[in-house]
Amino acid sequence: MSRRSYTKEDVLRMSKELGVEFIHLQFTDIFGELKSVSIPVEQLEKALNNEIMFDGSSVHGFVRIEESDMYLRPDPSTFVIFPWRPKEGLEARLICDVYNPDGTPFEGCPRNTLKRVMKEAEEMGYTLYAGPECEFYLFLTDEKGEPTTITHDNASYFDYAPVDLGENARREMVLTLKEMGFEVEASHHEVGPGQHEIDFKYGDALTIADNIMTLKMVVRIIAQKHGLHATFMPKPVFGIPGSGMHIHQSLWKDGKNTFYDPSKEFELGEIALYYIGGLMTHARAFSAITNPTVNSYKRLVSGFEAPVYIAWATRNRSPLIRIPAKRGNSTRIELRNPDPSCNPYLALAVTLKAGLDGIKNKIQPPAPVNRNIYKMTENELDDLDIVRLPESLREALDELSKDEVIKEALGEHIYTMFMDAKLLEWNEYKNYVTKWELDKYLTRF
Amino acid sequence: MNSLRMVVAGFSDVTRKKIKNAFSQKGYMVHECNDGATALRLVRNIKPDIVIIDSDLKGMNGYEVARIIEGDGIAPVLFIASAFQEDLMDVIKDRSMFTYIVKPISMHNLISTVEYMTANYRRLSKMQEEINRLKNSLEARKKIERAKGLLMKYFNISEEEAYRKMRKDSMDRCLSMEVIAEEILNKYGN
Repeated sequence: MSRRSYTKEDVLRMSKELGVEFIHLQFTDIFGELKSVSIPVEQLEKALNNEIMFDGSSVHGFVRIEESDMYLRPDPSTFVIFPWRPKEGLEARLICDVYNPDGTPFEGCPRNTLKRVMKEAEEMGYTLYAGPECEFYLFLTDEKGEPTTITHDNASYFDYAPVDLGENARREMVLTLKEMGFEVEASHHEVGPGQHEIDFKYGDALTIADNIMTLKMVVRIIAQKHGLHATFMPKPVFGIPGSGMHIHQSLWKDGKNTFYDPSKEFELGEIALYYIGGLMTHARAFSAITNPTVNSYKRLVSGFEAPVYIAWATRNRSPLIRIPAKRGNSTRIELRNPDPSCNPYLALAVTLKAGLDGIKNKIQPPAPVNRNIYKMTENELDDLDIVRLPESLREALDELSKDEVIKEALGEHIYTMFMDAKLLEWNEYKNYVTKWELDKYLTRF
Repeated sequence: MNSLRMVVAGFSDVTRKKIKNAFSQKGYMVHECNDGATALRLVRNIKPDIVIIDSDLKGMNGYEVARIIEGDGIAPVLFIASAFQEDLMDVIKDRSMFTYIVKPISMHNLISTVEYMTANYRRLSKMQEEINRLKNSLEARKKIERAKGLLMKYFNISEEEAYRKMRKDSMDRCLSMEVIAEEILNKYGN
């Protein structure tokens, strides 16, 4: 799926013709949250001329107070009209990069970070194409409007044929995305009750990261319209499947998929193997980015098809890296540990960097493990040198602090801000007394 | 005869009960709830004939809920605005598509407003159905005319003959004239 190629003039013209009244200048913060500065259409030209500023210190993790003025540079190709807004009062958005007042790209802007790593890849001749599979839960809200973790309403609708609220909501989400011009590859009800998945068609890394942010926005808004709460939390309920965000990836060079080589074993090219080698080498470190919350590690446990061990396989559903059966131009690897609480720009940046490192250093991956890893014993795993993914956010952060390649991908600013915030989060969690502890110990001791 | 279905969202428990009783007596099947999200789920689930929404709704903003329900065409909405919203309602009057009345309301006025709305909505729905029917009929007619023209040109026959050819084909194969016309357009059209 190629990016639309709107120019500034196209955006101005379309806004006028369609009667757009408000534009939301969107950008993503370090933690993957969507922020926006909303302007009336009268200021659109100013915005497209990169003249709109905002106070960076109002965004957590962006800057310290002294350096607060930041500029927004909209990317005209991301112009999209919100179809759920009434015809009178049409609203649109533009995704922006954040720049410093001196005209240099702000290094705390995750979109700039991804672009930087993509440029590195480009210099080696490669373009990363990715395809995300995004899972989420739709929960009911209580009378106060607060989300619960209940997915089925057992209240009094028995008089009428049961309607799957979630199905209708998801259908509308897909229609809305299509109306906005996105190519939705598939959508279906997932394994968990109330869990859904929406997959986008393959695209270049930047487009895909933009699309993931858009997807989350649309899902939340449409869910609310249906009286439901959408959550991208990795493991909202113990004992039922968590929500992951598998990312399919392949590297292209000169219009050809470098991962495909019919003359090699598994029909996988050398580049694919090096990419896998790079991913496996840096997985423990980049987990801090692809699985960035305390809750992320509650999902990475066995029994729910989530990866636990660092291994790759061609005939297995549960490893960290899976090779789907399709070949030719559709040859790709599927990285299965990321979850939707991650910042998609940073997640793609670090995985691309890891893959490129594998290629630069010709890192050969170990043999694929086509057995059920969960059933293997400790000794068997040791013999094959199979290592686990981090078991907690703290472990992942420790690994990240030791990995210069991944740190370089993030850049000093994001790495420092991210670490500081996440260590704080970890400490808060570590010090908190949970209900589990009370249930377990309050009466026993 | 099917009874009309109503959803009442918001209000104090006492007021809601009063509304429910008043309309139940008139033969309506009334469902109630007091927060926005439940109202949205309930309305999408049962697709009532009318929804009465209180501006003072728990959870979500009552006006927002009304807009969503009316905007998605699920059911006609009667929005009960509070006195201090009257100015706001005047301003957005041209934009919002739903009917509103301002508190305090008398049960008498509420009932007559609702009866008027449901009758009106029925009338509008019928008109819309008729419009759709006419549109489809016009489209079909156009296709048939074009197909006839193509047959006349291609086989060098008169209009009557062309029509008879199509009619026979339609009867023999048990297909509508429109489908026959589409086939002809696909085959002989450019």
